[in-house]
Amino acid sequence: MAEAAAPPGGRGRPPRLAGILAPLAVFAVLVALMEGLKRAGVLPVTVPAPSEIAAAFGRAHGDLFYHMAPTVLSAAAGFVLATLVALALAALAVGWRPAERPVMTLAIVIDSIPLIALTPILMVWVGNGLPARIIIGTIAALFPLLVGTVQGLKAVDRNVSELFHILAATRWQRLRKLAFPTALPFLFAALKIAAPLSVLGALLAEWVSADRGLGIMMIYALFSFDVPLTWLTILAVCVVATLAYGLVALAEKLVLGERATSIVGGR
Amino acid sequence: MSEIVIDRVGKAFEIDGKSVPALVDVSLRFEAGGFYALIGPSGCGKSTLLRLIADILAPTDGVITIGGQPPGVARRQHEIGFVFQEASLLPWRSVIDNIELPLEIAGGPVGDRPRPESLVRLVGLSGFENAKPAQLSGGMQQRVSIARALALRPKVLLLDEPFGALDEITRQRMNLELLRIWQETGTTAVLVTHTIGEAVFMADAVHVLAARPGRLVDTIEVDLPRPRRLALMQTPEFNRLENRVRAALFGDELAETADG
Ligand SMILES: Nc1ncnc2c1ncn2[C@@H]1O[C@H](COP(=O)(O)OP(=O)(O)O)[C@@H](O)[C@H]1O
Ligand SMILES: [Mg+2]
Repeated sequence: MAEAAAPPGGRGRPPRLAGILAPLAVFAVLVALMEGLKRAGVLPVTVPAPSEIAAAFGRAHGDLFYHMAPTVLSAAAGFVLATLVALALAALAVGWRPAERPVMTLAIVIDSIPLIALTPILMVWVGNGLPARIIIGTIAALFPLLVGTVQGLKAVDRNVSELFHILAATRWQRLRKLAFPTALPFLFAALKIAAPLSVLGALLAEWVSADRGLGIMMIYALFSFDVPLTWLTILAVCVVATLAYGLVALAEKLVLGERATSIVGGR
Repeated sequence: MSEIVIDRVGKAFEIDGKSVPALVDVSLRFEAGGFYALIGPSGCGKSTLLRLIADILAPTDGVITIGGQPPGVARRQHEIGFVFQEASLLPWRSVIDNIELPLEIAGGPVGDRPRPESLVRLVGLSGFENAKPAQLSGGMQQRVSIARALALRPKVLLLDEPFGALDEITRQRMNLELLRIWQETGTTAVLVTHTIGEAVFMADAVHVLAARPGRLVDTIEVDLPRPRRLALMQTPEFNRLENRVRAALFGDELAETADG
């Protein structure tokens, strides 16, 4: 017992103020720069000054939040649905050898269809209501989730896999106690990519047809040549997508703890 | 606690559609409660032999029995403990949860199984119950994996170069502890090693294998008293046995260099 080892217990990093202030400063400088350039007349008419976007927010924030709600709803529902479908398909592909090729091929085919073409076809089929928007949000996020989960489920250590065999573990025990925990870091990496994709998918569906949503608000603003309002909706989409990413990253920290940062390297 | 009988066992692997023999005509008997060492150059089939005993692989020829039953029966009754060269722990589980894994999987009544807490003590990791594997040194990780292998009180303990990655000093210490644990549990132990001194120090008999194809070339009975102490390694008796293993391993090669 003479071997040296770190005592058990985590070592948390204190939150650094600089880590928050630095990006904020960069952002402020960029905004100021854009404002200056616009006033100097360097920027084209299609690019508004930040102050104009702020003014648009002042006059239209009621509309903005009214349209944001359904976008967030269909993106979130699509995201959750995509996660469930990806988990089920990945478990099938990894748990049953003959299924892997068909499942992955189908996923690649679906992913290679341009969503902008698929959306109108789908709407003819299931109508242009919330279900269609959720389905598009699902399809947009599905592929990276499936690839990530399959890769994660297969990342099981060979020795540990043999150990489960020696212990005569059931399929279910192997999935729950070995494959799924092994896949979690991969799954979270995929979720971080997929969350903004769901938002984009929902937005796309609203462009094609919707009576409410950031997508349709963006189209209206565009067609009425309201440049600041258009930019406001773009900004709102960015904020929603970034928040979605941030929520997943937060969940990752909570679920994985110290494992969150070590997807690559080490064993 | 179970006798292992290996009767004219052969194992061939399919490589590029061709059958390549990894083990040929191996016959061995490991008596119940004994400690045996397998030694040989890398690639001679030591791991393959252990994996055949553990029912991870099936032999191409011959028969293996554990306590008179096929290895599959012993495996499903959780009578086999296995320690890999790498600790192979689940990184998301704490020390105690890693040791508890076999109990979780086997389920059923605890019966006379050792409690995980006492296993932690047995392998000398008290105070580290809640540490994660990444927080432990290599030697400590391997202790956890030994405790895990013992969790179901196996009748057979198979160890595949368990201390191969450790430094000499740590390895000696781990070997002494392994002997103590083996004596306390009374399990039948088979240790794969590529260190001659380790094989002689630990075992009741050292089985020497050769490569291409993997086969048994000699068995050296070790009639040294137990419990074994480190001082034993400095005795002429010990050196004589080491030399016999060395002779079996190197054969004619050894004679040539002695002459030249
Ligand atoms: N799963 C496998 N498929 C094909 N060949 C294998 C497999 N496992 C082992 N072998 C071959 O069998 C021989 C013995 O391997 P192994 O038992 O690992 O040797 P050792 O443990 O003594 O170093 C080697 O030539 C190795 O390449
Ligand atoms: Mg080996």
